[in-house]
Amino acid sequence: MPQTKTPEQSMKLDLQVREAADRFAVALEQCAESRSYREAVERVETDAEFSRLRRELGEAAGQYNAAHADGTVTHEMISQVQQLQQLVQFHEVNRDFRDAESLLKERFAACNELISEQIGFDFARIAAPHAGGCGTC
Amino acid sequence: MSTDLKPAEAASKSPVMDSSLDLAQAFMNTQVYQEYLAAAAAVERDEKAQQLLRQIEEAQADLHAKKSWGGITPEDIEQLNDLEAAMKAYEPAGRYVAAQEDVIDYTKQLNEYVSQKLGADFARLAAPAHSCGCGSH
Repeated sequence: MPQTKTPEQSMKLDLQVREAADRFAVALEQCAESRSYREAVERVETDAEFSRLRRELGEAAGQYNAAHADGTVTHEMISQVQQLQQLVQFHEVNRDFRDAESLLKERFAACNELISEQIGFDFARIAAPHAGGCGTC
Repeated sequence: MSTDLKPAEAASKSPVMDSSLDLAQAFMNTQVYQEYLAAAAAVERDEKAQQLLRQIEEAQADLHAKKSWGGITPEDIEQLNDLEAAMKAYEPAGRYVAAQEDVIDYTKQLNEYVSQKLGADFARLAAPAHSCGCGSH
């Protein structure tokens, strides 16, 4: 794969492309999946019970790490962290967020597929070569 | 080479899909993309250029494989450098690689522009998960 160019070597986007990109971004922002995603993010940030559980998990994990460092971990500590992890993971707010995120990704992927079919190469893969990978390669 | 929208995709599906097609069309109208198509078409008609590009690809893949177990020799580097010099000296192949670099650069810039507008990396979200092919998962 060719080397990435420095900003000085980079070309500017054509006006027609910028305008089309503006319309594309607005359409994506206004689609149902984006609205649901924003609502789900807001609930993650504002739901009282979910916030409390996350805070408790953070505190329990902190205590576990400290105990792990000085060799005083107990079964109760492990059990508490695991229980809180499950409560956070399977909480309705978190589940809704994951569903909304998944639908948004599907929408983005459909757009990418359409664009890629037209231009003859995978737009997302070229623009972000390591996207979707495992992070180790 | 025609750069009209593909008929099957020309039908309107939603504002997001319409704007995806608009963006693809604007991209295809750019000089960068047209030059890429012209350079690719020239390579398709040129056996020597194809051979050079194939040899470079193989040498790069070979180097990549050797890199993972530390078996790269100075001769490997020299061979790749020689191939790259030969490719740059042969106009159709050199033109194709330059056009490919430009279209990749333009694609990345376009993604950055769209992502800035969206407040999220479009390409990373749009790319399918776990498709890096690294073999570690």
